[in-house]
Amino acid sequence: LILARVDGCLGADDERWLDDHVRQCDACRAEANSQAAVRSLLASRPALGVSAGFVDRVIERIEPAVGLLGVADWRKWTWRLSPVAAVLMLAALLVPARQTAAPASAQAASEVNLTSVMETWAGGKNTSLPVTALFWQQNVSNDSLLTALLASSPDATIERENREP
Amino acid sequence: VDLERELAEQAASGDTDAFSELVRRYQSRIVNLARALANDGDAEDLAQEAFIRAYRGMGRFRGDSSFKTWLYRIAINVIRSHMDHRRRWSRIWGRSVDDGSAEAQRAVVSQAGFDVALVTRDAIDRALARLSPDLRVAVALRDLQGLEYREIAETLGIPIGTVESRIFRGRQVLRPLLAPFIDASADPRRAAGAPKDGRGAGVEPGHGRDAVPGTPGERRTS
Repeated sequence: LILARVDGCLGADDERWLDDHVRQCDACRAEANSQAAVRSLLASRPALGVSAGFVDRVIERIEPAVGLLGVADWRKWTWRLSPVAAVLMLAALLVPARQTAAPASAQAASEVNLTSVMETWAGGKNTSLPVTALFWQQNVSNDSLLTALLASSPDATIERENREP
Repeated sequence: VDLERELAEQAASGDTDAFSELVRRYQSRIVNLARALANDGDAEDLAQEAFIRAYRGMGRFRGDSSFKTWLYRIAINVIRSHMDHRRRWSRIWGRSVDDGSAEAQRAVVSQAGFDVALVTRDAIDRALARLSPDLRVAVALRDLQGLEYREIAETLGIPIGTVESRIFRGRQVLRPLLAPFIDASADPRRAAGAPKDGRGAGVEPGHGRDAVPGTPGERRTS
């Protein structure tokens, strides 16, 4: 009640009651005076002046933050990047179309026939070689190598055609 | 208050003019709060930091509380962090704290030829620095900033009863620390040099709203 009285937020009835009490009670009177004295002194504390240009300095420090927030604003940058997005989408549509239109011979060309590989590799000598020799040939496709290995035993040989130059 | 909420909403959408207006309204209060709580020369830097954090967090201000208490909460957090940091450094370097004892205050107030207003402010700030952080903040918000109990409770996130108790205990601790100034204001001869408007060296206890019946110089308000 003393605090509320000192701070001026006590109801009228309580205030009357407290005033009557304080007149008779030394301890409460002393406490109330002490609280009021400190409150008055603090309230009289001279305010510290704020230096000129304080607001401007705050705003100056905020401006870069505005830029960062601008980046974070997806609405702004999605609009700015919309032409780039359009180009990328167009490219995404065109590239698969070109791939489907490409000649089938490109893929077929990569296929290597076992016989032709053997002809190239043998270099015209009519000798027999182990099937595993195919491992060292770069132009043998995986399928051809697999077929050759599965179709023969490990010590099987491949007959080279004897070609005369 | 509604205008402040409106300004806050505009500031949240990037309107720096609206934010400038809010800074203008609160700059003095926040700088003085920082000065009173931190009691060092960094008051403006701390206030600036508080405003910048407020701006960056403006999107999170939903108007559940007033802008005022929301800003004070940010400012107090900034000041507390600064003080924790400073305390750690003074522990490392063994720096002594300010002597805000009543004896030291008495020595200051007995001197002649000084700016009473400045000395009073310095004495109050040093006395506040001797309170525990909880009491200091509650007393500063009430007696220096003039916030209502409800606003302080909202700012600190504590019940009103706790606010009242902290203010009451804080003033009890301050009374002996500020005794020379209170005594000087009660004794006109010692208060010589005080500004004529009654500010600076303190005001006589028992005047106006602070009057308590049964004391000399009682002047009841009705």
